[in-house]
Amino acid sequence: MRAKISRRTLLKGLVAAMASTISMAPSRKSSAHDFQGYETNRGVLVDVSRCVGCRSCEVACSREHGLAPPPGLVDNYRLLDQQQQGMRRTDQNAFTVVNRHESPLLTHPLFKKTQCNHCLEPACLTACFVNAYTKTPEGAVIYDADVCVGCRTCMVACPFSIPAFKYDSAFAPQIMKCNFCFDTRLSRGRPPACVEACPMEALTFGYRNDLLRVARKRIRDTPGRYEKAVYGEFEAGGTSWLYISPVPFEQAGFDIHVPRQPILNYVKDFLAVVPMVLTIWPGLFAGIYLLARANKTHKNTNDHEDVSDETSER
Amino acid sequence: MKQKISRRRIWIILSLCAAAAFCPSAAGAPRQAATKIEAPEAALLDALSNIYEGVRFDHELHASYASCAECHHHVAGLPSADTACNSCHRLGTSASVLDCKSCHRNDRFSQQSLSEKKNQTGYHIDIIGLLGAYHLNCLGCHLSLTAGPTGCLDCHRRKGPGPSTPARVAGQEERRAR
Ligand code: SF4
Ligand code: SF4
Repeated sequence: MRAKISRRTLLKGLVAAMASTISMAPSRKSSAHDFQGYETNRGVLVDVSRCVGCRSCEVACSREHGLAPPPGLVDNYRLLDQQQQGMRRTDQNAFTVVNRHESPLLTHPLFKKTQCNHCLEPACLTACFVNAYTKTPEGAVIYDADVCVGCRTCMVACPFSIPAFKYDSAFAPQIMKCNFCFDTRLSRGRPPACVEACPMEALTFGYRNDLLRVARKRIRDTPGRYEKAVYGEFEAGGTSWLYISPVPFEQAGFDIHVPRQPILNYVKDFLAVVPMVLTIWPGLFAGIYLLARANKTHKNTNDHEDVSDETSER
Repeated sequence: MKQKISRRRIWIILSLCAAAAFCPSAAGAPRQAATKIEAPEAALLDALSNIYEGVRFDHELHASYASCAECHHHVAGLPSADTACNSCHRLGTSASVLDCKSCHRNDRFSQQSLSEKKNQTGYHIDIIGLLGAYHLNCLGCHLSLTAGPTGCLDCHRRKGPGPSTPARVAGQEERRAR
């Protein structure tokens, strides 16, 4: 009888401790919500009004990373109109894709290049529990295949649906995504291959802070040419790749429902509980299990029928 | 740096060639007013000559459709029609500069230009490169007037048969990166 009471008290205590930990976690204020990115964060300003859809950037990218040449590449960019069927997404063979969009405000099509935006506070990095992702001071979000366990949480976490999975190698998990040409170029201060290939200078490379000023200057100096906003300045907590567009962003193929806070803020409270789950729960449930067993053996000593039942079951 | 000099030299040689070749005809043309700076009749843009034929830009033809300032921002000796330029450059010497490449650089990705771009405080934080200036100016006009070539290969005629465009364009890209 005495033992029973002490067990009950113990359980009560444990439950109370757990409840207090859970209730404490969400009330913690996030300290990094106004992170502005590294000073050295490079970026690329994409001017959607300049792009003509020639896909030179796709070609340069596939060459730089030793990927298959982009499919259906045509000599004359005007032919892209007929060739293109639906929206393409980045995949294991294409770290960047150019899609054609029609806007009711324009008589001509618009082209939008898509690739990893190299977020200031990347959701992919936050989601990865083995730390396969790194945000470099240059701004690139890079990935280490040696660490990756192939769980693909980053693919789900990315608000822009960028990381792709290399399905053809079952035993060597690998996420495929744009790395800002980090190893070959960015780490030496050089622009990525796509920027150098663009004949229209639709892609401008520089420090993110400078590019924001350039973007605002273009918007200010040519009234009526651009929407008065820079996509990526705040989206997903800010991205290294920034965009200006002649039409409202949703008409140029942008997802305007991407939250302005870093995705990290949404999962921070949940993530704070994870260590608790990993540290307290094993002890807690082991305790409960042991108590339950102790209870059973205690019963068993009183009741011999149960023992014979249990042994016959085994 | 080496590349820059060699390109500059090529430009000088090209423009001299053009001037030499077309001098007699230009002098013979009665509409060349004395006050006007001698304009080249044509220019050959052949930076991609390992892949494509050079693009022959018929300067005289374009001058007959458009006023000089439509492409050059301003004409020699006169201040720009753009008030934004005038507020600083009305009295300066920059009005005498007419060739594209003296402002629109063709070494955008050299270490020097990249470091110059950091934390610029002046007005000109966004001068487009020569490549972009050409393409935006040419294509912009051709598309809006629905006149003149607009396809890549309409201007850049390929030099004979060979690997498909992707590999060739990328080859060029690599060459430039080096
Ligand atoms: S765009 Fe997606 S993959 Fe790229 S850094 Fe942001 S969250 Fe990661
Ligand atoms: S190279 Fe430039 S103009 Fe061509 S598709 Fe890419 S971004 Fe657009």
